[in-house]
This record gives sequence, structure tokens and C-alpha cells, in this order.
Amino acid sequence: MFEGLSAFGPEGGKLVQGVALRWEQSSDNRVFRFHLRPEARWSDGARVTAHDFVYAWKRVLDPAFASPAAEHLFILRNGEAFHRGDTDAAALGVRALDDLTLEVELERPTPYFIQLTAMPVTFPVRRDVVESFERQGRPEQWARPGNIVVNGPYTLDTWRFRYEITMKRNPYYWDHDALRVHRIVWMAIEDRHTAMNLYKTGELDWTGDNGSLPVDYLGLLEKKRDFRRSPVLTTYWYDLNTRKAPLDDERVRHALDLAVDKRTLAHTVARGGIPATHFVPESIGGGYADIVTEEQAAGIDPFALPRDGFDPERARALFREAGYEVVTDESGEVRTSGFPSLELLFEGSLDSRQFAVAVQDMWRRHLGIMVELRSEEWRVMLQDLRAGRFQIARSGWAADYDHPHTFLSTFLARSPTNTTGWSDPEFEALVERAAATADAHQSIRLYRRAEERAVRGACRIPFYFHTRPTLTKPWVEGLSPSGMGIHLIRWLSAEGNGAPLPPARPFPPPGKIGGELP
Amino acid sequence: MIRLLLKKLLESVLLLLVVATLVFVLVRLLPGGPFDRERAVPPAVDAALRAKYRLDAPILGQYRDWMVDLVVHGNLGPTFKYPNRTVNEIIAVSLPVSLQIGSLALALALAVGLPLGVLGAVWRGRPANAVLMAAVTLGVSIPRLVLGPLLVLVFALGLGLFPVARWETWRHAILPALCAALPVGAHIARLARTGMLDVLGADFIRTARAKGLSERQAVLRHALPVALAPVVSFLGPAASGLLVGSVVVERIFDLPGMGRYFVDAAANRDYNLVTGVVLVYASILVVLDALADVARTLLDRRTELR
Repeated sequence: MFEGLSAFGPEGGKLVQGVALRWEQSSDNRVFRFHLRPEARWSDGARVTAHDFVYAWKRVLDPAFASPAAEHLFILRNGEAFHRGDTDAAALGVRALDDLTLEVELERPTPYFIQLTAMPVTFPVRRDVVESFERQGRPEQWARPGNIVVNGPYTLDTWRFRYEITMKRNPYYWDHDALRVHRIVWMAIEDRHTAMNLYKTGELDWTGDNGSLPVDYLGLLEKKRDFRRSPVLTTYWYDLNTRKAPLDDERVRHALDLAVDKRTLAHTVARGGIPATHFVPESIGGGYADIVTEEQAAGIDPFALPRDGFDPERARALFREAGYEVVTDESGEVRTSGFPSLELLFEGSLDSRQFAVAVQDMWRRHLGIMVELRSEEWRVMLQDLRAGRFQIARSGWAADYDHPHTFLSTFLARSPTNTTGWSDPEFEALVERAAATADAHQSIRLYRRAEERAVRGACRIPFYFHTRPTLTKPWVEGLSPSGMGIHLIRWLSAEGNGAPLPPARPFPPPGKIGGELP
Repeated sequence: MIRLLLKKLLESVLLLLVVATLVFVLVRLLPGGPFDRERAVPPAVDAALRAKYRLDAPILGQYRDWMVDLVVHGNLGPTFKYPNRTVNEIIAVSLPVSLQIGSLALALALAVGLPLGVLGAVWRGRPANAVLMAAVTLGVSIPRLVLGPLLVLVFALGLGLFPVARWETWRHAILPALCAALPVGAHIARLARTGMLDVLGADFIRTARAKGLSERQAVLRHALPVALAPVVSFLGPAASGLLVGSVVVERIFDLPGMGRYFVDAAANRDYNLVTGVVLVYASILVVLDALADVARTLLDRRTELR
């Protein structure tokens, strides 16, 4: 419904022009200047201007509005101070130079800023519409059908809460003529089996960006023509609490990692994950995926390990180095003596339990240790994680934006997500340098080096990168897998006649803004 | 009678106030807050959210504001999970769905359960009774989690008689109502049978038979009203359970009803929504229980309204 400065494109979610036609940036990823499309219109015919973006971003950061997503815009200069109420809106690093030019100043170098301009948190909002409902004392009404004014290809038609949303075309959208889907019905279906049944009876054409299929049917569904599986930017890992013995010993942490057979876990327990020897999903944007392909072709990928890093022999050697006595008795059973008790914490879902049991069994067989399992309700577990009341905990990360920074920043000592207690000055320095490097290729190389440090530190055990299985009817065309799991209806067609895609309009290479910030 | 009803009403209101207070306190005692996410929210964002929803005030102040809103304005407050929605709004769109499915299910349960129970008692000792009781035991013991998918498999996917899920036409209501009704219907059958068996041996039935009434008249006119007492007592809680919706039925058939909020809202620590749906449930329960009391008295002159 809304369109940002950039937009997810038709191929693999690569960014293309949105409201912005082109941009310029400073060489340290701190100043960005966007030139907006003069023909962009709101669904009531008004022009989309730079002021709409300024208003929307200030609204996200306004402490009175209390957006749960405010944190994403703390990257704006004075963003966090404004949210705390320490400065006024005028000091905020976003301004409209004129109706069609938007200038953004960031607090610190942010190589993923362009990726953020395709995400909802940076979408423009119409001030007059929002404020007129605020004045009437019913601010929630601005986003309801009939009231809402949007700038994207489709607009809200009906909304039955937690049941169904329908959308129709926005007649004022600048690329209106290229739209091929007339009306969209989004069904909110909670149960995977129900979704599958509705697909089977033809009520659904596509199981959706965020839909999932029942795990017990995957074996059957995989053989179907309509079945597709594509990587998504989510990594499944276990957090290791490095503050407490025995996990304060890096060798023990490595041994735990080496003793799990990730290939088996990914294929049989997780039903279709990609085994992971590191943390950043390899299909991620920002240039990371290209470098992975390059390194793999040249045979120098530091994370390409035989058997996906499964090496029980070395794991036992590390255990011995750490001072534990590991013996294999005549029946082939591995026994370790003197190892303190370990507990694995996970949230009370069936999937997590199955996974934990499988891992527990691998550690028992290959290391001779018996790890206790404990499950907690989700929010209780979050509290324990943040208070450091755990030894090993089921965790993971889903990308906030299509750039490796979203994963690697969770290893920074200051990140509230880093519950492991691990910190490494060299890692921090590498991430900082990577973030301040404008050349994408160089920047990603630095991120890769930082990631090597993180893998060496072993404060988390990566298991697998998620994939998403979907069912799509053969007449749905234009669906190209995107790691962020966002597919714009703009690129789809439900005709099944093989008509060509609408033009994608990639951005021209960014211009340069001279001079560093004062 | 009127005085008794007024007394019941007063009791009910007091009871609801106690329930409201208890739930208000209990949800806040749960570990974890409504704004905890997987990605840790910075303290400033959490503070702003708490301020917006007045969760930063002292607990007694929160309680007073919330009670005043509830009693004076009938306003249950905003939800924390769904921005821009109020609890009243959510209940207003979801409760009618649950009420429709629930009343249909209740009617079905009574229509099937009562006759089966009565027949079971009249036919006691015959082979037909054994078959009937086996069916009833099965009905009581199969959980809806199993029953629902079975119904979908047979009647929707197999025979194509009904839609697999969703909430559009009357045909969409049949399978979920059936799924909700069967366990309750089976319970009713058992209670009706037991009640009937007790009554059939009673003196006044022997008298009725001695007067020369046919077995049919004796059973239907004299025994049935008295035998219904346990069924009626059971109906109060059972019906309120059906009317507010079942999270299982709603999930399987993808209905936009109220039942799912009992689970979701608690998991999300959506304090106002939890208190809202619990109050609705408690109100229906209290009203139906009072009605059941009255009905029991009318049916069986041996009980008295106290």
C-alpha cells in the first residue's frame, strides 16, 4: 500500500526505484540525498513530497507516538536524543531541501541505509490525514478503509480484523498502468493445516510471504508441482553463556559446535534448512551473496568445511585439552568424566523440543555428556536470557534488513541481543571499519573478516539457515524468491499467460556528496 | 421470585467485580511485559510505550483509572498487541461469530443429546443401549483437536459437502458447530440417561403408571422434567463455554471468533484484552447459571430457589 524511497524489485528482492529516482551519498555512509519522482501521487491525487517523509520519520521517533519500531531510526542524527526528549525535532537528521529533495544525516556510518528505505519504518505518511483524525479525538481511524491515503500501488478496500484484508488498485499510482493484479484478498489463517486445505480446495492461490506449511506433510508436498522452497534470511542458533563455567572455555564451546551433525539436523529435524557453519545467511544482500559465490568458486570460502563442520574426533580432542577425561569403552560408548552439568533452555514449542532432543543425543553420543533440557514459556525465557540465567539457550536471528550488518551487530557487546557475554575488541573494530566503508565490496570483505572472528569466538552455535516452503498455483507468475520474504504484488500476475514483467527501473549508481560532516 | 432474582443480580455484579480485580492483578503478576520482543527493545522505547498505555503509573492508580473507565464508560481500554484497536472493538467483531457458532452448537447438542439420553434409559439392558452408550463414550472422549480434522477430511475434502474452513455462508458454520457440539451433546446424553434412570424408579412414576398412563406419557410428561435437572445444571457452564468460542475449533476452521484471544492475549501479556475476554466469559457464565437455577426450580418442584 505504501512505497518508500526504494522498493523491493521483481528479482530476488533486489532494490529498485521507489519514490526516489536516484541518490547521492558521502564516502563514509553518513549523508544521503534523495531525488524524488515528480509524478508520484497519493491515492487522493496529492503530490508525494519530501515533507511527507520528514513528517513520517519524526512521527516514528516521537516519544509520544511510542512506536515499537523507533529503534530502527535511531541511526538518524540525533534520532535517539529526540526520542528521549533531549533535543527538538529541528535537530533531527532529516530535512526537505525542497519538495523533491530529501537529505538525511546519520548518527554514524550506516552501509545498510538504502536497504532500510524499502522497509515500512521509512514509508511516508500524510500529515493532514493523520492530524485531522487526531483532532477529532479518534486517531486510530486514519488507517481504516475509506480514510486511509496511501502512495503505493494498492490501497485498502476492506479490513475484517484478523480475518481478511482486501486491496484494490490505487488509480493515482505513478506506475498504475503496469499493474496486472486488480484485487487482492489477504486471508489471515492461523493454522498451517487449514491453510493447506484452503489451498487444496482452491481458495488460495499462494500460501504467502509469511505462511508456513505443516511439517508432517512436507515430505508429501515436496513432490508436488506447486511446491517451492527458497532461502530466507533467518539463522537458527544456540546462545552459549560465556560468563559461566564450563562455557567460559572457548575449547568447550568449540567442541560442542563440532560434535553436532548439522546436515542431519537441518534435513531431518528442521525439514529443509541449509546447514550453517557461520551466522550470516549466504543469500543476503549488500553484496555479501556475490562475495560468497566468488570465494566458493575460488575455493577460499573460510566457512566451507567438510561435513559442514561435523568433526567429533576433534571435538573430543578439544575436550581433553580442556582437562576432561574422555574415554571410549569397548562397546564404542564415549564417556567423559569430570564434566560439570549443563542445561539447555528452549521455549515450549514442539519444534524446539524435537531439535533440542536431537542435539542432546548428539552430544551424548559424541562427547559423552548428558545435557539437561528445560523449556519455558516464551516471555519467561526472554527474561531469563536477558538476565543471563541460562547456560545454553535456543535462539537465532531474522534479518531486519537485507544486509549482513543486521546479523553481525547482534554480536556487539553493546547489543541488547547479545546475551552471551562475549565481547571482542578486534571484532568491534572490524565492524566499525566495515560500516564506515562506502565501497560495498570492500565493506563486505571487512564484514566477512569480522564474522570469522565471531565464529572463532564461538559464543553461539549456528545450526542452519531457514528456508520457506510455499505452494503457488501455476497461473501465478512473477514470483521470485526474496530472502526478506517480501514480494510486491506489483510484480505479480495471476493470468498465467506468460506476459512480460513490468519494467523494474534499477537505481543509477549513487552520486557522491563531497565533504565530511562537521 | 422477583426479590430472589434481584438478589442473584446483585451477587452477580459483585462476583464480576471480584473477577475483574483478580484478573487485573494476576495478568500483571505474569513474568515478562507486553512489549518484550525477541529483538530487545531499548529501554527508552519500552518506557515510551509504557507511558502511552499508562503502565508507568502506580498499580493502584492504574487500577482506579481502569475501573472507572470500565464501570462509567463501559470501556475496556486499548490492546497492546494490536495498535489502534480497542478491546471493545475486538470483542464487538469477534463475539458475534462465537455466539452464532455457539448457539448452533448448543441447539445441536441438545437436539442429539437429550433424545439419546432418554432412549438410553428407556432401553436399558437392550443391545441398542450398548451401541448407544458406546457412541456416547466415544463422543465424550474424542477431543475436538482430533474430531475437527476428521470432520474436515470426511465432509469437506472427501465428500465435498461443506467448505474446509472460513466464515462466509451458513454452510461454513455447519462443521465447526458440529465439532463444538459433539462432546457437549455426548455429555448431555450421559447426564440425561443417568437422571432418567434415577427418576424412572421413583415412587411418583410408579404412581403415574398405576394411574394407567402409557409408558410414553409417564416418561415424557412426568419423568423427563425431573430427570433434566442434572442436564440443566451442566448446561450453565457448558453453554457459556460454547458461546464464547473454542480456540481449537476456531483454529481448525479459521473462524474470526473470540475463543482464540483467551490464549493469544495471555501469551502476549495483553493485559486489557485478557481482562476483557475473561469478563465477557464470566458475565455469560453468571447469567446462564442464574437462568439454570431458575429453570431447575420450574422443572422440579422439589427444589427451591434459595
